[in-house]
Amino acid sequence: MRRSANLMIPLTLITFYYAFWTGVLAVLLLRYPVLRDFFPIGGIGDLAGRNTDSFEPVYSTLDDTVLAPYGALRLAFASVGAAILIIPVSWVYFITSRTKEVDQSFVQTIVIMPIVVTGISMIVLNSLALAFSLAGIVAAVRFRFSLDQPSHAMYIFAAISIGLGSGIGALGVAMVISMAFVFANLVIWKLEYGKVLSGPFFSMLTRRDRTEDDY
Amino acid sequence: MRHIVRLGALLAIAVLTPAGAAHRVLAQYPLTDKYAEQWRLPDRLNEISGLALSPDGRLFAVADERAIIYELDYDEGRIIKAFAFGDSPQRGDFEGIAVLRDRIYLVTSDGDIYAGAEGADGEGVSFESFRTAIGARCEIEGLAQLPDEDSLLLACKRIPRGSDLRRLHIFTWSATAKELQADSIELPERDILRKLQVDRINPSGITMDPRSGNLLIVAARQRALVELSRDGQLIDARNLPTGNRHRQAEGIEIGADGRLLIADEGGNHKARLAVYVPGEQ
Repeated sequence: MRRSANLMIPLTLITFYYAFWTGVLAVLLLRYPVLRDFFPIGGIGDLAGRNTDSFEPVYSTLDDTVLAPYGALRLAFASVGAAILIIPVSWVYFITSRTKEVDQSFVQTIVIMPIVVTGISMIVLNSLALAFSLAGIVAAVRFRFSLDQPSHAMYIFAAISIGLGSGIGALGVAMVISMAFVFANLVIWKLEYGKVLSGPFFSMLTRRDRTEDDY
Repeated sequence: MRHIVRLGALLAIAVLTPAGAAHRVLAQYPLTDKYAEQWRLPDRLNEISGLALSPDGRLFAVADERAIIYELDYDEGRIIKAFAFGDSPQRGDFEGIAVLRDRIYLVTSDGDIYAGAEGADGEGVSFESFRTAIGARCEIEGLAQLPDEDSLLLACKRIPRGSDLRRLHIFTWSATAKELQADSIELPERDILRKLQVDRINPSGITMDPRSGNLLIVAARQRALVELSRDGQLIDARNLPTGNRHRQAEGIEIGADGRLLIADEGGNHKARLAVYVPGEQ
């Protein structure tokens, strides 16, 4: 990661970005309540409310998801939502990138990935058979690429998580994932956490001598 | 959305029931994926052994071994509440449940009947028990309510050795007189076996269709559904869908909205609740 700079501006911009889209959604739902059926905005309440007394559907009736009359529309909204939520993640990559020139291919990958994952997860939703089919297809395609830095892997995971959340109709969950990833990354980057092990706390924690350079 | 499903089910019944075939209930259910919804039930219902709908359409279930009654929301898929007969839940081999007016009834495989009022979540309610002494004559496996006669139907699963019975029967227990009635319905076993192409039939659950008054019986071992008239004539018999959908069907109910509910004991797996709606065969 590059040397940390002032966090206030990026933090404000990103917070404003999330607030803007949340506001747009709230206004749309207030003015057009019928949109609630098409927006996959649920999730947090459902996950919190799910407990040992809840039943688990044995199989998804595809008629209720992708084959529903509004299935394609719902998928479209979910894909747009996933794209909106991944954008700040790419900004964090720009901000914290160690090199001056970022890997454009990688950035495009993490932006597109949640959109693709959204579609896939809506198709395989609650269907073990379809999920296995997907695993087979992925294995057949041999989708492999190497990551330049270990930190790139967490961007990939974040992109997949946001896509999964959007795909199962839980944009609320996807938003929390996106915000948690973005803000945690920025704070860690700002603090330059783990760069040095000096100071009384780390000396106490690691039992290293302050003057000791290395083991 | 759920109201639309219910309305659709009612409309389907109205449209798909041909004139002159108004009393055939099972024929209205294709029992295919398209017309089915199924839930895996929480672990504490693994041994589910009976279902009953209250007059106001709420679903109750009982599991083997303890007199704990569960109210289930089969639209949203959750347990609403659970209460027990007794402060410390009564133990027994509970095989069926019925709701008659404001009383809930359980039956054991020996034919003992337990009755109590509905309780709040986590409550242990007081109860009465009645011995029918029918266990020596046949093993009871299903219980259903007959609201118009204020009585219960007890379905016989198997005739033990030494019994005076030669055929499986459905017994009637009067909730008014608190005793077993002399009249019983003899199961038309020969007709059922011929229709299903099986060598025996062992009912595991029973209910009465509130619209036609016909009796519906589910047989776990034969994976079959049987429809009888109130006087015991065979109307229809058919097999349950193959595969894992019905591993051990122990409970059956049918709502006023036409939805057919079948509960399967889990065994080594989770118990399941299937909800079928009428449709085109």
